[in-house]
Amino acid sequence: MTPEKALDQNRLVHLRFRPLWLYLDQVRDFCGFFARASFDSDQLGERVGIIVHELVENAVRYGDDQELEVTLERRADEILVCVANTTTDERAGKLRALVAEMARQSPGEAYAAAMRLAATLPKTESGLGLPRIRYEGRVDLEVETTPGRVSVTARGTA
Amino acid sequence: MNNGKLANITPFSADGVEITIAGDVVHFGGVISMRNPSDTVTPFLRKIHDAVVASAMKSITVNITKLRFMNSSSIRSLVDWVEWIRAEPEAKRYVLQFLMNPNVTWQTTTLSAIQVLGGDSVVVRAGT
Repeated sequence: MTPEKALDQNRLVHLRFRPLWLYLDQVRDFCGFFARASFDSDQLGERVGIIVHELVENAVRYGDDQELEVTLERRADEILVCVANTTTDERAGKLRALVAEMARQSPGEAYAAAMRLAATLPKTESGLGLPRIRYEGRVDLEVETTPGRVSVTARGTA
Repeated sequence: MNNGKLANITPFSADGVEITIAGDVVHFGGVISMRNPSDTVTPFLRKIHDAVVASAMKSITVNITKLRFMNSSSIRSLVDWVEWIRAEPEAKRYVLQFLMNPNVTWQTTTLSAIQVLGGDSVVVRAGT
């Protein structure tokens, strides 16, 4: 089997669409369904739903409205969610720095700190999305950037 | 219990979520995933907070067992609610008692984090 074929067999979902808020609920439920069915776990379906929702919500809010890709993969007992979108290099750099800063704390500490901070932020911001993914989704986050594009990968035990 | 001011609040319904009040219980149902809950949900919760304080109630129950999903922007609305309580003089503070479905993982994890934030102002228990 070629490595490409093996990769395809791991892939549960691959979506590419224009990043519109309108699609958010459907994409969350769709990916959650595939995770739930593939691993026969309601709990995992919920976790993937949270991860997909928060990552896509960020991409819609902070992307450039051009292109968004969501990939959901199963690798042995691991689940992997990747959300990639076009954006400015400045935005991508900020996201990378934010995730690196957050990784210095445990998921629980980072989420608790984000909760304390949330009420002091402008009313249209929460700052809770990424800490929530780590804590409630029980995954680690990695950010990769290329010119004009950023991808966030969430990886954890299924 | 004097919760007359609470009874006068018109239920909230928009974008797939309904928030209703029956007695001293606030019921959330549907999905809260709106882009700017600070424009709609947060002011509605503020009305409830003001009514609870004006009625000198010592607790209110928030039943989220029928809530299917809540995005982080909407969790901010609950964080604000907790902070409003904590900002009141001690005599006017009350307890937010959340009823959640223990079989729904996100309800357990989200509310456990809010409980850490709220301390004595937040109680979480399993509901039906």
